[in-house]
Amino acid sequence: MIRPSRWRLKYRIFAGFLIVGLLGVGMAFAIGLLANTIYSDFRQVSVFSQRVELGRDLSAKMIYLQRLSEEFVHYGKSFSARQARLVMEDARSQLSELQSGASVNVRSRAAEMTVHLEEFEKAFDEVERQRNRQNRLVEEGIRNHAAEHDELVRKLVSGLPDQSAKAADAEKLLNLVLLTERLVHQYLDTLDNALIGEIRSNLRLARGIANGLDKGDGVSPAFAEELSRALSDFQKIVLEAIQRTRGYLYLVNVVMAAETNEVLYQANRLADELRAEMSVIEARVADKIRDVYVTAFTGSLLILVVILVLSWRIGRSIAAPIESLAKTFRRLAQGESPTSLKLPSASHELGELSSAAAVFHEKNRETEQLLVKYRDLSEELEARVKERTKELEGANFKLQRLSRTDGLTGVANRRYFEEILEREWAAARRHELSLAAIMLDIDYFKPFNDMYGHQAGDHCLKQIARVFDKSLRRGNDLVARYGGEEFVILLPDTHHEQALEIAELLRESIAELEVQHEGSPWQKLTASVGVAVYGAASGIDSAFELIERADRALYQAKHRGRNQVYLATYGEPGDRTTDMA
Amino acid sequence: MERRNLLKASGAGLLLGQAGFPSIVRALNRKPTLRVVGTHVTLQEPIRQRAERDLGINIEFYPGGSAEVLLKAATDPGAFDLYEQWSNSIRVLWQANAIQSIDTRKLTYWNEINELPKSGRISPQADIGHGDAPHQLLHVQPNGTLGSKPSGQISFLPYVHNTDSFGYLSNKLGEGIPYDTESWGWLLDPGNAGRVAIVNAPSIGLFDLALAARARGLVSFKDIGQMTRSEVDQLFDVLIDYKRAGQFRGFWTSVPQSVDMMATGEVDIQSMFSPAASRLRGMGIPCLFAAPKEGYRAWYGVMCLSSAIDNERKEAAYAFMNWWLSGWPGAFVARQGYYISNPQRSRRFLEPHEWDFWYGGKPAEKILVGADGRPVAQVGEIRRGGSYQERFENVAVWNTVMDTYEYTLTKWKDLLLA
Repeated sequence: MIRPSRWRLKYRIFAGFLIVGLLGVGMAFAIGLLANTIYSDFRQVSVFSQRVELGRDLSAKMIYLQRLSEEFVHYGKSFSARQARLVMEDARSQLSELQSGASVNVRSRAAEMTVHLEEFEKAFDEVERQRNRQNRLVEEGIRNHAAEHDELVRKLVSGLPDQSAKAADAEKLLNLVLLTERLVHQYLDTLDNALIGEIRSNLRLARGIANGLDKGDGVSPAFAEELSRALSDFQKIVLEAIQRTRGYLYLVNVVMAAETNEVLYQANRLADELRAEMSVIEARVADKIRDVYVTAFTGSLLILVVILVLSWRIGRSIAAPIESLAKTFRRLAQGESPTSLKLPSASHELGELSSAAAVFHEKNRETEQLLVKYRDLSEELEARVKERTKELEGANFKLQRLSRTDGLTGVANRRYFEEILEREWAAARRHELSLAAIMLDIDYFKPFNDMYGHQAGDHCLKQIARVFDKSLRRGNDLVARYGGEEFVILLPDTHHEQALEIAELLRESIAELEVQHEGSPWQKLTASVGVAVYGAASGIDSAFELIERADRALYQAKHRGRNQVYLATYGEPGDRTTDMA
Repeated sequence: MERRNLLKASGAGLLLGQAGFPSIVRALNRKPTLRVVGTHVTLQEPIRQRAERDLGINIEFYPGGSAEVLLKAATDPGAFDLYEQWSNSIRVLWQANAIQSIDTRKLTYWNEINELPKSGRISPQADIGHGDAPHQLLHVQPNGTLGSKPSGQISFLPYVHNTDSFGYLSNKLGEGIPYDTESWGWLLDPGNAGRVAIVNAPSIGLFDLALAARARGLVSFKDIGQMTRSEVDQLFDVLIDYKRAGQFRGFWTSVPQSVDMMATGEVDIQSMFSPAASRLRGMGIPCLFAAPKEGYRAWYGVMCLSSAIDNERKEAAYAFMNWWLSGWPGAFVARQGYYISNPQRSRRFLEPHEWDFWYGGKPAEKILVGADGRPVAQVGEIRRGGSYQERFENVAVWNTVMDTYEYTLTKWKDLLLA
C-alpha cells in the first residue's frame, strides 16, 4: 500500500500537482471526446441536409424530366429525348449517391425511388419508340399511303369516262382519304376521341366504295384489289398512328406521371424523415452541449476539491510538523521538558529539524534534572533552618513567658504588670480613655497558711487565678500577682460602674469557691477589693498614683471589715465601699 | 417482362432460362400454343395449368399492367391470340382493329350467359349503370360499330366480372353500413387526408374520384359515364385542389401495390379490387370492401380474339373460351370474389355454402377458403354488398373509355403532378 505521508515533501508536492494536472488533462480529454461526438453529429446533420438537398434536387429533376417527356411527346424533338436521358442519368447517379452510406430507411426509400425511376425510364423508352413510330407514321406513312392511294385512284379515273358513276366514286374516295388525313391531324391536335369514330366511318365508307368498284365494267379485279389493299394499308397506318398516340399519351400522362408522383412523394417523405432525424440530432447535440457544460463544471469542481484537499493535506503535512516543532522549541525555550517529545518522523526534510529539537530537548532535560537536584537540596536546607528557627522561637517564647508570669498562679508577674501599666496609661492618656485598676487581697491568708499549710495556700492561689481567668474575658484586661496574696487587675477603657461590677463579681466568685477557712469570720476564704479609676476628672496624674489609689481603696475595704469592695473617690481616698451586707 | 413473371410463378422454370423455355416446349409438342395477354386477375397459373390439362394444348400467359397490355394489343395484334381485360379496353381495341368478332354459334354456353352482359341489367328492375355497360359494347353492328343489338357476332366473350368500390380499414374509419353510410365521398373526406390511394388508371380511378366528388356535392355530371370536357375540367379543378392539400398518399398501378400500401399502414382507404380486400383480410388487416350508397363501379371482363390469329389457333382460342365457361374456372374465380357470366354451371363446382356466400350473399356457414387456400371469410361473415344480384343492381357506373379519354389522360397527369 502506498503511504504518501512517508514520501519526501518535494515528491508529495509533485504528486499533488501531478494529480491535479492529470485531472485537468482528463477533463479536457472528456470534453474533447464530447466535442468530437458533437462534431460528428454536426457532420451527420450536414450529410442529412445534403441528402435533403439531393432529394429536393431529385424532385426538381423528376419534374424537369416529366416536362421534357411532354415536350418530346408534343414536338417529337429528339433534343428533348436526349436531354431527358442526360437528366435520368444524373438522377440515377444522385440516387446512388443518396444510397451510399445512408441509413436503412434512406436506402430503402432511395431503392424505392430507383425502382420508380427505372419504371419511368422504361416507360420513357417505350414512349420514345411509340412517338418516333407515330412520327414516322404521321410524317411519312400516312402521306405516302395516301399518295399511293391517290395515285391509284387517279390512274383509275384517267381510264374512266368523265361524269360516270365510277368517276364520282373515285372522287369520293379521294375526298374521303383527304378528309381522313385531315381528321387524323385534327385528332392529333385536339385529341378528341369522337374523331376516331369519324375516321373509322370514313375509312369504312371508302373501303365500301373501293369494294364496289370491281362490280361492272372498266375496273379489273386485280386493280380493285390493289386499290382495296392500298386503302387497307392506309387505314392500318392511320389506326396505328392513333393507337401509338394514345399509347404514349397514356404512358406519359398516366404511367410516367405516376412514377414521377411516387418519386416526389418518396423524396418528400425522405426529406421529412431526414428533417425529423435532424431535429432528433439537434436535440441530442443540445443534450451533449449540456453534458459538456456539466462535465466542465463538475470536472472543475472536482479539481477544485482535489486542489483544496491536496493543498490542505500537503500544507498540513508541512505546517503541522513545523508548528509542532516550533511549539516544542518554544516549550523547550521556556524551559519545559515534555516527558514525551512528539517529533514528526515522516518528513525527511523536517527530520533534521526534529533531530535538532531532540538535541535541544536532551540538553534541556539534563538542565532540568540539575535544577531538580538543586531544588531538592535547597528545600532540605530550608526545612532544616525552619526547624531550628522553630526551636529557637519555642525557647524564646518559654523565656518570655517565664519572665512575664508568676510561677505559681500562671498570671502576669509584677514586672510585666508594670510594663503593661506604663503602656496602657500612656494609651489612656493619649486617647483620653478611662483606665481602671483593681487591687485584690485574700483575707486572713496568713492564718490560712498557718492552719492549712503553704501547699493549701498555694492551691488556693491557683484556684483564685482560675477564677480570674474565668471572670475576665476581655482581651486587654490584665491580671497580675502583685505580691504574696495580693493581685492587681488592670482594666483599660473601663468606667467606675464597670470596674465596680467586675470587682464585685471577682469578690463573689472567690467567696463562692467556698474554700473552708476556720480562721475567718465567714468560715471560708474571702477577698477584699479596692478599685480606682482614671478618668477626665479623676485628678490622677500617673500610673503609680492610680495603683496607689487602688491600694488605698483596698486598705479602706480591709479597714471597713474585709470581704468588700471599696471604690476610691476623687480627692478623698476610700469614699465608697461595697460589700455583701 | 411478362414471361419472367410467368416463370416466377411456375418456380422451377427460372432454371431453364428465360428465352428457351417456351420454344423447347413448343418444339417438343406439336400441339398448338395459345398466347394469352391480359391482367393478373385472370391470368393465374392454376388456371393455365388446368386449361392445358383439360384442353391438351399449350397455353402461355402474359400478364401485365393494364396500360402496357392494352398498348401491346392495340398496336400489335400479331403478338397475341387472346386478349383478356376489362370492358373499357374494348373500344380501343376495336377501334384499332386489333380484335375480330367472335361467332356466338361457336360458343357452347352462349345461351347460358345471363342477361347482364346482354342487356346491361341483371334483373328487370335494375338500373343500367352509366358509361360503357357491357351490352353496349358486346354486339358487333352491321356497320362495324359496337352496339346493343344482337347480331350473332360479338366483340368479346363475357366471362369474369365484378363490382368494385373502395376498401377501408374499419379500425381507422369505423365500420359503415353497406348501401347506407358507406360512401364514395369518404375518399375525399379531409379527415382521411394523406391516407387515400387511387388506382392509377383514368378509365377506372377517374370514376372513383368522380363518384367521390359528386357524393360530396363538389361537382355534378350530366352523364357520369360520358363527361364533357368542361365537366372533366371542373372535376379536375376540385381534385387538384385536394391533391395539393395532401389528400392522396398515392396512385397504385397493381393489386399487390395496393395491398402493400394498406398493409404497411400508409393508406386507410383506397380504390380497391376484390382480391386485394380478400388478401388483406387474410393477413388479419380489417379491410372492408365497401358497398357505397351511390352504387358500385362495375367492370366486365372481356376475352377478345386477335385480328391477326391464324385458323389453328383460332380453334384453340374458341376451345379455351368454351373451357372458361365450363364451370371449373368460374368456381375458381368465385373463390376470389369474381363472378362468371354463366353462374349456374359453376355452381356444381362450388360447395353449397360457398355458393351461398359468394353468390347468395348469405352468412358463411364455415370458414371460407380462397383460391390460394387461405381463409377469406370467417363463420357468420356476410359478403359486403350482399348477393350477386344485389350488387349488380347497384351499379353507378361501368369502367369506361369516354370520348374525352385522351383529354382525361392529360388532366390525369396534371392531377398526379399537382
